[in-house]
Amino acid sequence: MSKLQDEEIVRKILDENNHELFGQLYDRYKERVFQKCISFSKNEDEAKDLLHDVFLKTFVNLSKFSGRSSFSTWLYSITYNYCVDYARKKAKVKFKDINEMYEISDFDDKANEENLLSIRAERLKRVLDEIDPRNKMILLMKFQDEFSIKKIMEVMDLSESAVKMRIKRAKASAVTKYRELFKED
Amino acid sequence: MSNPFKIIEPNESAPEGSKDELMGSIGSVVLILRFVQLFMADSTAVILNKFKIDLDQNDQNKLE
Repeated sequence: MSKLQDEEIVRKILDENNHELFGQLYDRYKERVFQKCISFSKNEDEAKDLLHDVFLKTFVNLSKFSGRSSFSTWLYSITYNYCVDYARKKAKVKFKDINEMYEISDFDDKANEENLLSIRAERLKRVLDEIDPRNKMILLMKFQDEFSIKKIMEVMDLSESAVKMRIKRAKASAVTKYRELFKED
Repeated sequence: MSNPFKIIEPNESAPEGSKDELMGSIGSVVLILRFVQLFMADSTAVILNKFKIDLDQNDQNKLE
């Protein structure tokens, strides 16, 4: 029997009320989703709860899946947004408005990116844990998942220019945090 | 220069038994939704019946 596409499985679950089929989608994406949950939680127990809640939320909202993007993109969108909300609620500090208007020149952006990619891994982990989870999310999509701008647009439901601006600001915020944390070096 | 984002990428596997737990929760959600649908269908039927009776009575009143 040929393997069903994700979207065909979703259709069958909805049309035939066959919720057992959701297990197949879980098997396909559990590892990727769990790894994202780990990135936004303090330990594996928290990540396990997040994994459960993300897939349950996905199931409950399955009828809202329009098929405009692929199922995997839609699932990553739920995963990232759920994890970011969770991390923001748990954070002890209040984060500034992410839409605050300020320009970053292309020259500064290039320097920020070079600085960011030269940070040692263990330090980068600490930096990412301290910045606004919304900035962390977009940096992970760009540099870890290596999503295209188009895919980030779909996941975040933003325009191309808004995505590019958010990436620039996220890089700047991470570099600033790095300087704050490791200024003695 | 290696990408430090790739170095910190988690590689842990989803815990054993997490699928059973999820499918159990989904089963409960489906059950609750079916109860709600049943209740909603019943209430709608009761309301429609009520209107039907009232309309019938109105018709009778008009005839009288």
